[in-house]
Amino acid sequence: MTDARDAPDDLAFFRERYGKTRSRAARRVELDAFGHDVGVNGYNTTVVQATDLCRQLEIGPGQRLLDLGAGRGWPGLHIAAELGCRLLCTDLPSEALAAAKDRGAEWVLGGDGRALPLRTGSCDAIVHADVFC
Amino acid sequence: MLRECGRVLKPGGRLAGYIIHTPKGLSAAEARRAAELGPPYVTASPETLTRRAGFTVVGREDVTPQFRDCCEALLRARTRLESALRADEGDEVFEEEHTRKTAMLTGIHERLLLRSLVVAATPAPSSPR
Repeated sequence: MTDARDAPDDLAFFRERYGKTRSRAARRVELDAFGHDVGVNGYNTTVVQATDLCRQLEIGPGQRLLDLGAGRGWPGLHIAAELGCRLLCTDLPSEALAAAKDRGAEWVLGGDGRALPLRTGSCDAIVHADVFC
Repeated sequence: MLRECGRVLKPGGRLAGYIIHTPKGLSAAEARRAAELGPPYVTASPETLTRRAGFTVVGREDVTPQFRDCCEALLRARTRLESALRADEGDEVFEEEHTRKTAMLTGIHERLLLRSLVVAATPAPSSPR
C-alpha cells in the first residue's frame, strides 16, 4: 500500500504544520465554519462524524483505542471523552504528538505506522481519518 | 500499514475511519487530475484495500456530500477572515492552504475525489469446542 506520509516532503509539511501553535484566526475560522472550536484537523472530520465513529468502534470504558495518524488528537480525543476509553495516539511528527498529549491523550507514540511498537492484539479498536488516502 | 493494524488489533476488534479515494474506472488522465487536486496517493477501492489486509468490511458509507459541505464552509470562513489569517499565519501559508483547499473542492465537484467511512473487523476469535 502506498501512503502519502511516505514522502519526505509530506513529513516536512506535517512537521511544520503541527510545529506551529494554532493561530487565533484559525480558531475563528473553525468557529465561523462549524460553530465550535475543538481543534478539528484540516477540514474533513466533523464533530458529527467523530460521534458517528463512536458508534462504529464497539468499545467502552477502560478499553484501549489507537488513533492512527492522530495529528493533534482529533478525532481520538473526542471519542475517548465520549466513550471513556483509553487513548493511544500515534503519528510521525513529534510536534503533533506533543500537542495531542497537551490536549489530554493518555499515551502518545511516535513512529511509522507500518511497524508499531505494540504487542499483537493489544488494541481494542483503531480509528483513523484520511490516513489511508 | 493496514496489515500492521490487523496485527495490533485484538481478534474481532473494529477498525473504523474515513478514507479519501477516487471512483473506480477512472482513465489515466482522470487519475492524474485526481492526484493533482487531492492527496498524492489515492486508492480507487478502500474496501479492497481493507480486505487485502485481512479485514472483513462490515460497513461503508459515502460521506462525500458532507466532505464537500465541510470544504465549502471552511473556504467561505477563510475568505471572510482572510485579513486575520494573513496577519496571523503570513501570506505564504495563507495562499498555500487556500490553494490546497480550493483544489480539493474542485476535485470533489469534478467527481474525482470521494470520501467514505469504512468500518472493518479482524476475524473473531474461534469459539471453544
